[in-house]
Amino acid sequence: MHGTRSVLILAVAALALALAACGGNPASPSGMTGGVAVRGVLLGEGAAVGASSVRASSSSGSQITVTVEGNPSLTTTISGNGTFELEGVPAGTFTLTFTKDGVVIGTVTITAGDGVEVKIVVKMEGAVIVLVDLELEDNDDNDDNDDANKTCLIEGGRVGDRIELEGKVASGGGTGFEMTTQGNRAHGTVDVSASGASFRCNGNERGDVCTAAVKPGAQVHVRGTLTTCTLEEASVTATEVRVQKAAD
Amino acid sequence: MRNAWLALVVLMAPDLAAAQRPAAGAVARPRPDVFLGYSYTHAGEAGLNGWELSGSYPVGSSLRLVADLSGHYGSFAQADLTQATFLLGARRVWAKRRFAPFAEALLGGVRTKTSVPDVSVSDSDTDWGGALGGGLDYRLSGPWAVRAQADLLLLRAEGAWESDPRFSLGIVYRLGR
Repeated sequence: MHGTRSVLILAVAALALALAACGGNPASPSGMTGGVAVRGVLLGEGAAVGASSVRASSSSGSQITVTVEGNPSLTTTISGNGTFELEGVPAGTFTLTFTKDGVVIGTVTITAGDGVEVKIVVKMEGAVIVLVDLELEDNDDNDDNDDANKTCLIEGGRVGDRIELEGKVASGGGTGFEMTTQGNRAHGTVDVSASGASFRCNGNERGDVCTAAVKPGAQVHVRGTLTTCTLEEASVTATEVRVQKAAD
Repeated sequence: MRNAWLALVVLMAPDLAAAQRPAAGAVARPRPDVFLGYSYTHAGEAGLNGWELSGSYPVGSSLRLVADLSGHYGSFAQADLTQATFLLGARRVWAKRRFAPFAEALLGGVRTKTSVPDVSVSDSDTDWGGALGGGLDYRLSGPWAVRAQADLLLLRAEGAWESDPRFSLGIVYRLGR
């Protein structure tokens, strides 16, 4: 009798625990009811080379949270495997703010319309978060006006905003080049003006060595400001150019 | 979470002692078994599908040592996620006629891998992990049985335990005679 009662208690407890764990984050209810859905993944530091990583996790005082700037009710904590989700974000231009221990460690500004799902990949680089990939997917069945709503060939791009791009140098080099972006983020090449930028290479070399390494085929990470963007062309004034992999 | 561990230890404690002496009036001699089945886990925000393979070895009338492997796969945002677990622990079984409910506590490792094919970026990490849960075996003819199981899969990341549900359904084969 005692054994049977234990089984019943345990079965109910296991089921309750499992269902409770399924409950998810109250800030991100399942089933999109309107607005924009943001689904993202945070990779650890060193992700590109497969080194040991800094987890996006959850010890007391070291949780990383994502908040829609100006809308503190839209916030979520990044889970142990790096995934996060926010639903019901008001359509338009919004900024995701990544915070750790109360300190902002990264921001990403996105423009998206109603019914759009934003898929975003970011990674830890040192103590900050950088954008790796961004894709907007329109889940709205009525997409007749989708093309009309796009004004910039860079997904989520907005003139005047800070931007980070990762990709390959297509032509030019040094302090002026055109680049293609990874993950179909831009539907064309982006002009980069880097005359006032700092140059870094993987391996910590800086300056002229790295400037010379910016040539067609090189893998680069560019930080700067989006200065112009239409459906045909886009340009970025870079503040930093990092050569991640030299041209073959 | 600490309370959950404690509850399972208390529940299994009498069997640890009983394992040292033969059970009086045992219905059938416990046999080692192997389980293979479909498995689903909700890891963080992502739903992952995969498999679970486990084996158990009896150390008393109702206590078993368990080795458990599982692999779960899926995608979220633009990333492909893989989660593998390798766990060891103990299982308490209450066999009665064709039904054999059980509870188990396992500890080991969880390896997670995230890759983003669009940008050729990947990341992997191994952390302490565990599982707390239970299930039900229903004995079929011969050495076969079916099993339904529910666990809380635990992941120790940066000093804190996180828990995700794992559900498995599959077949059990009992070894020996």
